[in-house]
Amino acid sequence: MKSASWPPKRSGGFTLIEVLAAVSIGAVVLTLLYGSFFQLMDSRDRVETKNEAVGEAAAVLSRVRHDLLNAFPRGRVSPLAASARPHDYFVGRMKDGNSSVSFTSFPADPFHRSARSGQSEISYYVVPLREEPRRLFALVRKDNYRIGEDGAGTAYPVSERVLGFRVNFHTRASLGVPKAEKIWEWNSSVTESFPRAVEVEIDFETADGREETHSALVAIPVAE
Amino acid sequence: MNRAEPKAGQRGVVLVMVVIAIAVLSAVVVDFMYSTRVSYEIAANGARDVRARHMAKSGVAIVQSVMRSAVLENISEGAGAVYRIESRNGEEGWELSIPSISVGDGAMSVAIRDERSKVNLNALVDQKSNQVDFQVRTQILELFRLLGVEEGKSELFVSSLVNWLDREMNNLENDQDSEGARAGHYSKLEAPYGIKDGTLDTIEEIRMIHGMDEDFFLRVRDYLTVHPGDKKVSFSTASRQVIMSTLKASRVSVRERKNNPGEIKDGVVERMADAVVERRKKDRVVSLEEARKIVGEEDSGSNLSSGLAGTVLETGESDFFSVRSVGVVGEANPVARRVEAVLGREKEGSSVAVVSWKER
Repeated sequence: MKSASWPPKRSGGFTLIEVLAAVSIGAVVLTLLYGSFFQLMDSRDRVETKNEAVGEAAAVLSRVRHDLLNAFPRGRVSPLAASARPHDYFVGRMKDGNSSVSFTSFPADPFHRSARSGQSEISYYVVPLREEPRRLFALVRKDNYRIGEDGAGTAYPVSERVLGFRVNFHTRASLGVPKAEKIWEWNSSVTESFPRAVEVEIDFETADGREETHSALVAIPVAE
Repeated sequence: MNRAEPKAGQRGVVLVMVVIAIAVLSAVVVDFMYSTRVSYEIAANGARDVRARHMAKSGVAIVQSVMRSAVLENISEGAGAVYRIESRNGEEGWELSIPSISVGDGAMSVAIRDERSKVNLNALVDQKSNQVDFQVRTQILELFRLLGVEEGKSELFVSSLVNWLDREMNNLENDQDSEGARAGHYSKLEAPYGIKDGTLDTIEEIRMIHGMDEDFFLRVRDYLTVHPGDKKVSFSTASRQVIMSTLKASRVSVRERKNNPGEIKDGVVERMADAVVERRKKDRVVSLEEARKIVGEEDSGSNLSSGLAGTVLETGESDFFSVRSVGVVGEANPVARRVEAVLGREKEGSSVAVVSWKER
């Protein structure tokens, strides 16, 4: 006999069986954790991109809402204004599935000190950014305090991940009527009035390439 | 047990690993808590914002509904369980305010002023006949004089205002006042803009007109309006300066430039204005008839009283009020929202429309 003592005296090691058992238990536990961990990270990412999209949509829509709430009929506020002249203080158009709107408003812009009258012509329209894999647009807000001067004013994109921008208008009669036919064009020099309410719909492309639609219905106070 | 002692070098390995694990986990948890807190604050702020905005809006709605049924000028101080009304009417004119109505953890305050207590700039040029109303011209120039604006500056601005308001129609000349800035002036500016050739929409719009500067504007803006449908001023609410300039304007004729408002002495109209202010401390509403009586008592010889029919509001009860309503929500991080609106009572019936709306 090589050794006198059997089983041999343990000196801090593990048997093969013990190691195998530990490794297999570890493998099972890690596999479970691994799966749920990545699932967790995945859903976290999804929620975060969604949050980001919601945040951007909220910021853009709040900007649009604010401009619409402060809209005023230029040249028409005073009851002394003569009624013979048409006024284009609110114009909404639809072209190739996207809208553009332009109206006079009192934007509250701290950087806008040169707008001494507090009045501006505000426009929202889309500018194409790319064609493939699907058409992506920038939604541009233009602020022109020199009303009537074409080419004047500052324009900047409020969002650069817009897939669609649609604005439809409600008259007093169409508001609250289910399945009422949507009005996509508005011209105040024809109607001599504001729409009672404006519905804005924006399709955003999320960071992971999905499409999400956000909308807001804004009632114009002076149109009451 | 007869186990071997661990070697000296292996001692504490587990402890170190546990400490590292706890540190990593803590960092993750702190980051998570922080971002949750930030998201929560953003959401809470958004909620406070919405509530503050609705509170400010409801302040305007309250005034709108009171206007339908009551004469605002007649409302005197009152203390209720929920709110207090402060009404002030002296030399500076009339103001009604509700300093604070508390709703939940927020509060709303409302201040109301009468647009008929001011001089209506839009009445300077008749939009149908394109003719200058020399009563209004006198009224504006006299008001500016009483407010301490140099005569040259006033003249230049008023002439430019005539050109800003008038327009070409039925063979009538556009930019009729040769003393004031015409369309060409604005198109040659560094940042050019067009002349309006129509009525003013806000009082701030006069800052676009040649002859107006910042000091001038701050001096006169509280005494001017663009909202009522004619030039008539309410003596129930107007300030002393507006009453005086209106009295002077009543002396001149509407269609003639050759008028001399200086014929009637400052001292005389001053006494009349004081008498009006004194009268309305007792009876809050001063009608045209009342105004005539007061004027007659002060100076029976003058033919002023007949001119008042065109310049003083018959009933003494205004149809245009501006409302400034502020909603504040939250104690630690309060959010305030403000609505400035002008409400107009329609001629027939009791409906009250929103004429102008600014939300901040």
